[in-house]
Amino acid sequence: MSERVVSVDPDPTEGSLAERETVLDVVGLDTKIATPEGEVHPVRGVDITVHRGEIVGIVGESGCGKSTTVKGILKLLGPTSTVTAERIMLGDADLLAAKPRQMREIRGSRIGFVAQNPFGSLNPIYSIERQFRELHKAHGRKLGRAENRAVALGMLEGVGIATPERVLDGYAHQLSGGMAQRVVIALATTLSPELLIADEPTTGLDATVQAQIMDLMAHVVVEENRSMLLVTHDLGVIAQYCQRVVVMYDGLVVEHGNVTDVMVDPKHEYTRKLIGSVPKTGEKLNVAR
Amino acid sequence: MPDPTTPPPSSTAVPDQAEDLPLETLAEPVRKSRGRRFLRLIRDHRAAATGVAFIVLLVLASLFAPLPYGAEETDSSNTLAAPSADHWFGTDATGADVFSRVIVAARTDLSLALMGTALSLVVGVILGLAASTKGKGSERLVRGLDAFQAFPLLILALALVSLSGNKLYMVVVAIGLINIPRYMRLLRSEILSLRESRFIEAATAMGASPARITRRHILPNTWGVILVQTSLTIANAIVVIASLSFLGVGVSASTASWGSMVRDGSGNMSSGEWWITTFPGIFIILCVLSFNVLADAISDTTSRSIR
Repeated sequence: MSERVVSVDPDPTEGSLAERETVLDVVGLDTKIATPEGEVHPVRGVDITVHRGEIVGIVGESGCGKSTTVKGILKLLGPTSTVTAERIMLGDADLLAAKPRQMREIRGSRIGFVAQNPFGSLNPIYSIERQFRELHKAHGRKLGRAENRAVALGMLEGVGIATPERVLDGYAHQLSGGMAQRVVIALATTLSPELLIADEPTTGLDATVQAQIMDLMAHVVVEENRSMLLVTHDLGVIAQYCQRVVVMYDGLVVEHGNVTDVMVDPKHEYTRKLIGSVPKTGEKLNVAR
Repeated sequence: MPDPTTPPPSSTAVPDQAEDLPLETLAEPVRKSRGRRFLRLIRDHRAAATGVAFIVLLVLASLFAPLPYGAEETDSSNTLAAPSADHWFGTDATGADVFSRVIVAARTDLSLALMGTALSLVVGVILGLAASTKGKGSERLVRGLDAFQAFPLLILALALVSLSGNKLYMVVVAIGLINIPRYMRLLRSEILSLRESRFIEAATAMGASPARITRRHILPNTWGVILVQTSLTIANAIVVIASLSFLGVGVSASTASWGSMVRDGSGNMSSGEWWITTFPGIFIILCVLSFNVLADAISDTTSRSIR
């Protein structure tokens, strides 16, 4: 099931981007967070566009506002923060104007969210089966137990879990990190959202498992012609899986474009440094001790 | 020195770290039968199992056991008799059988403790839930609780019960007054930390409403600590009731209760009749100990299954 999806979309020239359907259109996203020391402004004027079938990467160092950006889009930032933008559109839905209730309907059913640390994302006291049930209930879907189980089994098989029956009866702490993240991906895609937002989905996983999880996510996106907004600090992941990339630094987008263009010919000084900072095999490490 | 020819025992049980093999990572069957789980629970927590058995036995005995003598049955010809085959725990100054009284006292003491705990639990959880927001109001409420708890609550309970004219239900209220703030505090801190946890964010990201998150994700995750607190509260309530009745407040003097028995017998201690005070005292200790080890076991079990 989890065959490696090596080439996701090798030819970005196929169909000009302008003609492709826009799934997510963010213009001028600003976030402000009120702290006891005053207001901080972690994201300033970020523009992001994601087309159908496309994987867009957001890359940058820790604290540059990557996560805050995607959480701002999902309106997952706490009550102390405010999100403003010129526009945040998901297809025809205006997320900027969406009321909390409308936002809740969109989360989970039209945008799937995969966070880092899969263990943390699963409720520790519910069986995996119950968590699928909770997802349906949160969206007012009344599924029978057998029906829910059948759907969940299918989803778990779809993410390459060989023993879905046992996983469904199990709890988060009984799973390995890779399995837990597979479960999270299955949950995030159960209601077939058109957009997946993944916030460093492979952080904290073994290197081999990281590749499997990334392959799986790319597969899930390509198979259903979905889109994905992928937050990472790993340029290797960007190069391998994304078609377009947004480079962020200190709350600003410093460069964006096709992955190949940005990687081969970075325009911005920061991007150049970021690419230069990737350790290369055979290169002597220059570490000050 | 270990024999170099024998391999270290740890090498035989290298945990399988291969995460790409789902079959391997769930080597142990996830579901065990209820009976086996129960037996394992008892094996892992012998002290708690013993404690629970003691409490259950005591409750059953106090309700149904045919006691050798009535609790109120006095025998002026046989006062202050030492423990013997006839009177296992001896007799007190009125000639009543200490053993029978100790067992019957469990009715009053344990049922008051349970009622007081139930009151603390219900009110404490509701108020704790209400206070578990980050706003200014709940901050102030917690400061208020600080001030309230700084007051010696046993004295307050004592005053309340005696001012009410020794009404039994005031004992329950007194236990509530002492324990409700504890529940509130515990629940508030637990909920505030749960709200920060990632699975709550994940549930929000999946479209769950705030009410649903509180009901389905936050509250169920506090049950472990609530159960632990409940067990500790029962133990505390037993001590409070014993203290009150030792001071002659609450439970009327004619009704058998451990605290009043300890007080009645304390005068005889100096003249060598130790049994009147000692046996009810031992029962107080055993009950408190039972609920404390039970709390320990609950905390152990719930934290292990979660982390």
